Amino acid sequence: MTQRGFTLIEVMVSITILSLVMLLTVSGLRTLASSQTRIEAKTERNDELRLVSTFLRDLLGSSVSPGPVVSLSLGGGSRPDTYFEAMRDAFAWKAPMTMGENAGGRFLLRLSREDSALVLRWLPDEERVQFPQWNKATAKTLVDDITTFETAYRSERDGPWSADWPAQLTPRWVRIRVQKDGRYWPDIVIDLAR
Amino acid sequence: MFLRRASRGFSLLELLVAISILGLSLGALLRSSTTATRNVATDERYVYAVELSKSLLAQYSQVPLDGFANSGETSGGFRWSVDARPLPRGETSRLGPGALHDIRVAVSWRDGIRERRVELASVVPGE
Repeated sequence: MTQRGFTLIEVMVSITILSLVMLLTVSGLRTLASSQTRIEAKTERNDELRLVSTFLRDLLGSSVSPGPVVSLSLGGGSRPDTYFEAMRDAFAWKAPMTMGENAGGRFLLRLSREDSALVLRWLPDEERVQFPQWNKATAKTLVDDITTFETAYRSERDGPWSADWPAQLTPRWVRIRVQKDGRYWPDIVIDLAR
Repeated sequence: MFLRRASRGFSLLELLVAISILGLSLGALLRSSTTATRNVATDERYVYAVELSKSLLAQYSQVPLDGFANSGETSGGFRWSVDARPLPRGETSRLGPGALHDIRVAVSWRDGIRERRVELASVVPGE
């Protein structure tokens, strides 16, 4: 009696139950793994948005602002103290920056789209730099794989945003629009004279 | 007798208990990952709302002398409102009326059944 073993039916039933349990377990674990990947990707996207927006706000908000310039030099230096150059879907400005190989100081910066990346380039702000040589500037990619990068400018509170802006004129507000992964980031609006 | 008991195998009840424990722990794992997914989605909306509020605050960094109010909704479903009122002036203040405004930027959105909201406040010059 104790040596009887299992019947075929019993073995088949137990194998079926076991395989059902295994199927449930494995599919549950797979769901866990894929949602983990999704969560990480989304967190990274959120971090990137927050980081890049805040960085640009800080860097443009601390730009050497136009307006009444109090010059301390007695010789009446003719070198303009402010610098802002609007281009189509790019712009350059002057701001203090505490990163980079130099411990700090003023830099000429340019934000533009290069291929599908949003790139920040910077040069040390030296005397008599008339035409910044951007191709020799240090470059750093801020955002990869962007599908849209648009800039718009305006100088009056209720005025319209304009994408074409005279290069010599410093606008009061800059608006940056970035689209990545098919989604538009919230427009980054910065008050330059703040 | 002892040897026979030791090689007896599992009873049906034991197997059922073991499988149900497995099922319960898997269920708990899945639930926590669902919560994490939802929290990340909430976080994303908060990031959007805060960036939108910062942009609105920058956009209205200068308001008319007698105050200003505006509101709207983005295509992403965020409702925003901007409200600027002149700050009360002290008796000895040398600033003109409406020189400084209290500004409030509020962004709210619907997250499932919940209504979420971000509010930024600042002081801006009027002109």
